[in-house]
This record gives sequence, C-alpha cells and structure tokens, in this order.
Amino acid sequence: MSLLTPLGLLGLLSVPVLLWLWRKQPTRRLTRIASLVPFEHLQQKQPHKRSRLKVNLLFWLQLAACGVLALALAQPLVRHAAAKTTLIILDTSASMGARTRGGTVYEQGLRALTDRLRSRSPLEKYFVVASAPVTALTPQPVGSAADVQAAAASFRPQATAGSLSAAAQIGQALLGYAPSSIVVVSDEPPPSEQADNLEWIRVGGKLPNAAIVGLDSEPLLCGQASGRLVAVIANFSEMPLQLRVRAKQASRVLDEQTVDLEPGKRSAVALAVPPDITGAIRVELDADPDALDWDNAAEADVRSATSVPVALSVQAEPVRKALSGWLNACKGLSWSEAAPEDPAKPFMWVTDQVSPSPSGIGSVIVIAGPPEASGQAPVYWLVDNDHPVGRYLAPIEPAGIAPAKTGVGEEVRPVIWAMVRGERVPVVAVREEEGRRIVAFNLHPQAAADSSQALVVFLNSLRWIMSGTGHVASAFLDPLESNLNEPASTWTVATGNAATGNAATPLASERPKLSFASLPLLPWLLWTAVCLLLIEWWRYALIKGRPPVAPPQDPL
Amino acid sequence: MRADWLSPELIRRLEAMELAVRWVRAGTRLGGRYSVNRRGSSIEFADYSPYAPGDDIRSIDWSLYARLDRLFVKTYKEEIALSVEVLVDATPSMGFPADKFERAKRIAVCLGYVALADRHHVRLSWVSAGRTETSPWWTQRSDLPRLLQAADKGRVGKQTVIAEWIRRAALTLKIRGGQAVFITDGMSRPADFFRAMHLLMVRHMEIKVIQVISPQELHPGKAFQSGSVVDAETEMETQLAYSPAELERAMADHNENLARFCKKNGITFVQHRLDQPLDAFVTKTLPAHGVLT
Repeated sequence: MSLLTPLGLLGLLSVPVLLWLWRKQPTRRLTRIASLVPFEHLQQKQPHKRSRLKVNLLFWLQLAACGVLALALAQPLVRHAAAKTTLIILDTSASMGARTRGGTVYEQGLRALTDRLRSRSPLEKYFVVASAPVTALTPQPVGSAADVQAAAASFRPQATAGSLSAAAQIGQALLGYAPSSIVVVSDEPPPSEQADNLEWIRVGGKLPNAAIVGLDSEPLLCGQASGRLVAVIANFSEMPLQLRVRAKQASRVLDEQTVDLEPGKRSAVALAVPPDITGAIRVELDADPDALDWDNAAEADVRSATSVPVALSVQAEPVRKALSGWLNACKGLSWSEAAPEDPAKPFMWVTDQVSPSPSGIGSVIVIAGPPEASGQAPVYWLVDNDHPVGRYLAPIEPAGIAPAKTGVGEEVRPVIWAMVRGERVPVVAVREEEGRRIVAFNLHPQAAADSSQALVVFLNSLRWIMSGTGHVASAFLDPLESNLNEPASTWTVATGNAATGNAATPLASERPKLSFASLPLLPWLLWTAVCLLLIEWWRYALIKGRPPVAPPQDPL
Repeated sequence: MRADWLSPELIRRLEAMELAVRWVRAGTRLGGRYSVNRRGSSIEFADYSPYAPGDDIRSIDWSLYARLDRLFVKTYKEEIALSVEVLVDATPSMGFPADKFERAKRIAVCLGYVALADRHHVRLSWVSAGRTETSPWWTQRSDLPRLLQAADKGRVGKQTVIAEWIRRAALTLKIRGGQAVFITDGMSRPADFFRAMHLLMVRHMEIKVIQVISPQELHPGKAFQSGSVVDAETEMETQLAYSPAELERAMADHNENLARFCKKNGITFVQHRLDQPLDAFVTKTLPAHGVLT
C-alpha cells in the first residue's frame, strides 16, 4: 500500500485531541444531586488514580472514525498484482468494412468483443488499439467494459491496410509493459502457433468481392497511341463475375470495359486516355455481388508527358546492337545514334561511358563489362520494388545475368543487387543530381540467354528518367485487403516487447511482466467513516434518550 | 387548597386503617382513649411507683415508707389521647428531585388522615432552618381541611441540622410521649440523624421513619458516572472521581446504616421509592412494616 498524500497522516493528531476531550469531558459534566452526605466518607479517601481512560463504545467509534478519516486524508492506494491488463487490438483495416447480412464485419467484431467482455474479471483492465491506422482508442487502460465498448464504437474501419503486429507492438510501447494477454479482433486467420496469452476473435468469413488490385497510369513508352490506364482487376469471389470497369474524369466517361472473370482470377484492363487528358482520373469497378466498396475505385493523376528523344552512344558493338534492338521495339520512341541537332532540347543519353553526359535530362549508363566468371550459374536478384526502376520484378528474381566486374561508382542508390557467393553486389543503381537522373547498369545486356529481366529494368529506367517531365501517380487499395475469402495474415512473430525495443522477440516466448494495479481506498474509507459516525450518533441518541433506571416492580 | 390530596378511593382505604401503636407512655392531652399511670393526683388510684428525684414529695405514701422503709409515690390512672407528631423533612435535599417533597407531604397527609380518623391528636411540622414551623394540634376529623391547607403551604426551606431542630422543637413544642413520624430522605449525616432519634426517644416517642428517596439516589453509579456534582443542600460542587461501584456501595452503606440504627433502637424504618405508587405504599407497605394496621 502506498499513500498519495502522506501528510494526511497528520490527521492522526486528532486521536490525542480525542483522548484529551474524553479526559476533560467528565469534568465538564455537572450533575445536581440531593446531597453529598452519603459519599462523604468516600471523599475523605484518596480517589482512585486513573490508570486508564474510562471509555465506552462511543469512544471506540469516535477513535475508529478519526483513524479512518486520517487514513482517508492520506489517500492510500493498494497495489495488487492480481490486476490484469489486456491489450485489445481491433482490426480496422478496409477489409473489416466489408458488408455482411448483419452489418459490417467490424460491427460483428464489436459484438464478439462485447460477448468476450461479459466474462471479464473485475480487476481486468483493457487497452484498446486500432490497427489501421494504429491508434490508441483508450488513453490508458480502462476497467469498465462500457468504456471499452464506447471506445471501440467510436472508431470505424478505414480505407487503408493495417498490420496487426505493428498495432500490437505500438500498443505495448504505449502501454509501457507487456500486457497479460492480447485479444485480437480481426477477420484475418489466427496464427498457426498461437501463444497462450493470445486470444484471437475471428469475425467475417468468405465474402464475394471484386477489386481493382492495380492501376498503372503512364504514357505508352513503346507505342504510338495516346496514353492509357491499365487497371488490374481481380475476382475474389467463389463464383464467376462480370465486371465493368470505367475511367472517368469528373462526370465524363473516358473509356469503359466489361470483363468476365473466373473465381480467383485477375485480369488487366486497358482503358484508353485521350492525349489531351491530364489530371485526376477515377477508375471505377462495378460488380454484383460485392462486399467491399473501397476497392472498387482507384485514382490516377496523369500529367502530360514529354516525348524525349534518345541518343544512343555505345562503343561496344554487342551492347550497341542489343540496345538498338530494345529501342527499336518501342515504336513510340525516337532515337538516334547521334546527339540531337538542337542541344537545347531535352534528350536522353544511353551510353556505356562512365562519365556523365554533358547535357540531356538523364542517362542510362550500361557498363558492358564481361560477365562474372560464374557464367550461367544461377544468380538471384534482390529488387527494391519501391523504386520505379525495380517495378514489375519480384523482390527475389532468379536471373541468369551476373553483374559485370566493374562497379557502378559511389553515391548511388542500388535498386537491384545480385547475390554472388553470398554477397550482395549492386547490379542497377540510380542517382539524381542537379535535376538529372542517371541509371547505372552493371551488366551486359546479352550476358544470358533470357534477358527479359534486363529489358524490363532498361525500359523502367527510360520511363523513370522521362517521368521527370511527365509525372504519373496512382492510388488504389492494397489488394491484400480485398481478398475476403483468403485474407492474408498481418500477424507475424515479431510482436515483441516494444518497450525494450526487442521487436524480434516472438510473442510466444514473451513472459508477461508482473503488472500492478493501484486501487484507491479513499471512497471506501470515506464510506466507512460516515458509517462509523452514523453508528456513533445513533448510539449517542440511544444513550441520551434512555431512562437511567428501569422502574422496579412493586415489592408487594 | 388543592383538591387532589386524597382521592375517594384512597380515603375509603384509609378509613379502614389505624395507626399501629406499641405503647403510650405519656401524653399531655386528656380525654383520649389510652389509659396511663401518672404521678400527681387524680380520682382513680392506679399503683405505687418508686420515688424518683423530682417527684412531688406530697405524693409520697408515708405510711408505706413507715412499713417498708422505702419511698414510694402514688400514681393515678389518666385517660389520654395519642399525640402524633408528623415531622416532614423540608431541607433542600428534599427538593431534589422536585417530586420528593411532594411525595413526602402526601404521605404526611395520609398518615394525618388516619390519625385524625382514629381521633388522635395530630401536629404537622416542617423540619428546616429558621423558625420552628409547626401546626396547632388537630384533634378531630373536621380538622382535615386545615391539615390539607398546612400541607399545601409546606415548602422546602433551608438546610438545618436535624438534631438541633429536634432539640429546639422538643423544648418549644413540648414534644413528649406519643408517636413521631419522621418523613425524610435520609440525606443527613448519620450522626445527626442518630442524635435526633435519641432526642425523640428520650422524650418517650414511638418513632417511625419513612425514607422517601428517588431511584437515582438509590443507584448513584448509574446516574453519576463521572463529572462534578452539585450538592442541593450546600450548593457545593464536588468532583466524584470514583467508580460507579464505589458510589453504589456508599449509598447502600448509608441507607443500611440508618436502617440498622432504627432497627437496633426499635424504630420503624420504611423506605419509599418515588417510582412506587403512593396508594400501594400507604395501603400495603406501611401496614406490612407496622406503621399502620
């Protein structure tokens, strides 16, 4: 037990005051009697020395009330280890907004959580965290089920993805200690190996849904036609669906396509965008049945692209030949092996010279050194998909192209690495300096029989350098949220003790710390004091109102 | 005059009662129904009595002296009435609690009524400081209104020493023979009480003491557990720093002391608590203790 205001114990000084009053009280009482004669011989004797205070029940009641009030002034807190803190993680990602017959999946989760709270321990406290975005719904652990329900009901699923593990880590960090248990309310499947202190409440189920899972909005690099939007749509239902996709700008429908899609399949739908169209274009998807709305729309911001001529300046003949073939494949691209006549106009260099080009908007530098001695040995690329140059490639791509011997220089950002004898060797790196973009290739274009990965990277590089003049951006819902039939789990084993920064500690091995809860005793003490004083008052009134001696019976 | 001194029912029951008389040794009132031998002269010779200094030498039977060589005086029969002195303690202690003195006066009225109904001579006196307050002798039933009037006027007076009052009254009122009914609360010093009783005894009085006391006085341990007390007699404030048991024992000892003295000296001692009904006390308790028959 601890005291919030230990100085309140000074109230115990009232006890000596009470004792003094009780010693003084008999001397203050004045009783008139007929005569002192019968007691004269008593007065001649020395009165008994008062070794102890003459008290009655009233005194003990008053003493107890003084003690309790003094203790109440000190505001004691009882710390007990029995209190449990439960971290409740509410999945508020977009998939929880899917419609079902009984409302949304999130509302199902709230009802399930309410049922869970009915069986709660009185000393259990809850800390509620939403997963998307990660938000603490209660500022501190609360002990009331009503508070938990109110906090949960005040939040709604958001049109975004979320990570349950991240929410658990942040929740523990906000809590400051490892909770006794974690309750996850989600439509995601529970982990296969579930920790003892993890309680998984799964809601939702298999729901039909169709979604736009990708939107590539860029001008055609290799075509002569105008730009287009490529929307990738997917059918996550267990039945074939007829999907209608349209591109709109304001109320103007730019293009519309209808696609029949088998269950679990996806398809890319090209939507033509007239050349004069720039700005925000909305792509919409119609499907029936469809449980989730947020993934039926995507937006692309299309800016006017500039056709930039390409100047190919490559010394190595095999390399020049390979690159010429790649450039020729792009019919919409104008290129030449000589520098443009007007150097003032923007153009782009493709060269095998290490030194940057003196002019132009950017360079693709192909270091066409001889391949590594590994030859056709299996090589894996590690791709940074966050950079446009790494688009359309898997994060780990089996490639037959090994890096060249020469490095790509300093102050660059590698985008693609090759794993060579256990070491990461940069293959493609990018650099931006003074408004110019440079992509450095550390490979030979024809070093392998299948050079498709190299071609993708080359075209990505051209597109990235040209995007400096025609920026294109797109936004759509994370496809993971759209798959309601087989939702992906965002719960990983990396739910460690965030407070200690040990995020890699798996939850199953986390031993909850002994958490203490403080129970304020002030209300109990005040009630006790009031009861004591009432009993004392009742007793006092009883004594005052009672006749001194009961009337005796007539002896005869 | 108050009309509630005696209820018809009480009168009816008192009518059937008499004062218990053990002896009548002397009396000054003639014409009563009690016969006594007295020195002096009368018509009917009664007996001889040894000569005692102070006897009238004219009553010496000289012829008997010649035969026996001892002096005897002749006594003669006289019919005398019983003198009943009703003495009511009117010291300040009788005024606390207030109904104690009132109860004492009611007892006095009851006894006076019984005495008058028996044609005794009754006199009512208030024992208090100052002039000796007493009534004239009432001798017949028609004196009852005067008895009630005197009771009506009775008030608690100032503190006095009872023995001193008796000594003074014996001289001034010529108390001698008969009965003395002393109604008191007993809140006087035992020595004072004993001396007063002795004074009455040497006056050949048959004494009956009725102690009127309140329950609070009987059990001081419950009433005065702590604090200071004020003596109603002396107005003196004293702190009683004693245990309730000590106070109870002191009061019991005091009352027992009085009762033991009375018993030892042939004095009837009756205690009346204020919480007892008066009618029952007069009609049952007093006859049981030999005050009335």
